[in-house]
Amino acid sequence: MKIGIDLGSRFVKIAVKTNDGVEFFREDTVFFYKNMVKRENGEVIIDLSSYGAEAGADIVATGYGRNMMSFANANVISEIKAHYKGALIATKEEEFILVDIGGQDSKVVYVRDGYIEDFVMNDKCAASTGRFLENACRIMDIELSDLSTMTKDPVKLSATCAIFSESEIVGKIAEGISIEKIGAGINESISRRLFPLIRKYRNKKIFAAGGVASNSAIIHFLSKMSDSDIQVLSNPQFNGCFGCIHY
Amino acid sequence: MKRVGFTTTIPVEIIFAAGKVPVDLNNIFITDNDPSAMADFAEDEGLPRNLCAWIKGIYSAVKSGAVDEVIAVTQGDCSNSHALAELFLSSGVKVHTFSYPFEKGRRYEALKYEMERFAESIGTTLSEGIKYAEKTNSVREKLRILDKMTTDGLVTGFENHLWLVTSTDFNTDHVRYEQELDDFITEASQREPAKDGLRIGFIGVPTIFSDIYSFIQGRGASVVFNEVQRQFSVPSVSDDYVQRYLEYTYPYDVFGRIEDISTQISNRRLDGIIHYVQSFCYRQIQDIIMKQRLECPILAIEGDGPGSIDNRTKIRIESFLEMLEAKK
Repeated sequence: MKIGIDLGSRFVKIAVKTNDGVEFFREDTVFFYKNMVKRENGEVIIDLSSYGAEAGADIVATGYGRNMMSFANANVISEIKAHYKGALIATKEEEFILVDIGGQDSKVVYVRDGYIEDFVMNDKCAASTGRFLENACRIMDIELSDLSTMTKDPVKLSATCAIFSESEIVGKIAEGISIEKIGAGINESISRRLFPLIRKYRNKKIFAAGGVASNSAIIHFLSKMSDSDIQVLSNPQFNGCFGCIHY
Repeated sequence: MKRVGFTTTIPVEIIFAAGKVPVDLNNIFITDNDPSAMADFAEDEGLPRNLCAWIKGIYSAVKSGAVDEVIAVTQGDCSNSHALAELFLSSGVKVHTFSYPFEKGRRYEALKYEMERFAESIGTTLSEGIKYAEKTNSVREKLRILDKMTTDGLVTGFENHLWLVTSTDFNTDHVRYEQELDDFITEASQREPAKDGLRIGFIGVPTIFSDIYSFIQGRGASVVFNEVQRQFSVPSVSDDYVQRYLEYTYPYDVFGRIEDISTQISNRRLDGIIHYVQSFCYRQIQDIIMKQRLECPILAIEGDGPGSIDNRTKIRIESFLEMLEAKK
């Protein structure tokens, strides 16, 4: 048995690999820290028994959480390494670009000859990430799945800061602009922020992963801007933990 | 003796020659017991939150009465320090100005004239400053030795940073500084050279993170180059005092810096470069040119307030080191 765990800022993703195949689980990050992480004699232990983990199972961890606590029962690797491996196995490609759009970070990894050639991450701003999408949906009182269908007539959102973007959205609603147009505007603004990260890789095969990759409107805008046909990995949100089980 | 604070490296021998004590205001800020409180104080006084933390720290250092007079560098630093000087002037602080000529044509003459004007303003002459440099030449030579020892693995990246960054004012006393430097070099020369690992260079202004060197070292890599700190020590070997400050790359255009960094990439066999940029600093723009022109993998990281490295920066550094390791 091998277990991969991606301790993200919004969700903890778990891959359990047995002889029968790979099974995925997802938990809210705060719930996970409160209930699945135990401290024994000063050591931090991840309790994965509720996901069918056997005692002493081989655990590989990545994601934000790995730096906040030193796990006694897990090997720790960086997210770039985890996501790269996940995409390498899933795509079986030797040269490609991986765009991972997560809850708090976006990263672009350039893989050449099967190895990481370069990577770039977004600047210190959450305005291009999943957490902003969640907040925007909350303000507009819609589901993330609704938002991911909105691509028509995007309204222009100009605030550079995620917090000010929220008040800008409220303003647009007050102006009587339709939720569909505002939603399309949010999707486009996220894509516009991500585009500079992949701009120089336009002519390569691009794959998308991370929770936000499930938003097909963002993939649509990003594909259009980069003039490429961006493919979304299957189980995009689990790419990191999937990569972990291959170390 | 009057204490004269400055906002960035200036020809310090001229201050000594004027019988005054030079004080690098950046060092007052960052070595304070609570630098965050200094940044907060500046914000309380009305300085924008989205402003470089070093500017806020310098502001508070002057306001706390750490110095009697201030030298503002009005060309060759940034426009924020220009406005800072205006704030000081407006509140009655005595301000001298110094400016590094941006124009390449007749730069030597312009710089020499500026040094003469500055010396007069502070109460001495350039010739006196040049004469005084005979007393600090040996310190600068020892700093070049220390820098070489860093490349050879005898001095850590953090020690290199600390010695070079404090050479801007020699901790206000170059005699004591030289004695301490002698002791340090004697001690360090008896060390075993560091084991082979990734060789990393820092470019950009000194980082505001207190633990970044230990973090990198803890991952088996060595910092063997601190670009701007090295420049702060004025490493030129020229006999001509004016020429030394002409070869000092930091206050002029980015292309001079790139030439210097390129030489160091090959001389020091760097595996990768970490480009540190300060939040809200115009130098962030120069990262584009750095990445285009330098033939070495570059990671850009950004820092705002003083303190430990945040998790997001840690992830970037760790991934960068992993990538370099895999490439090796």
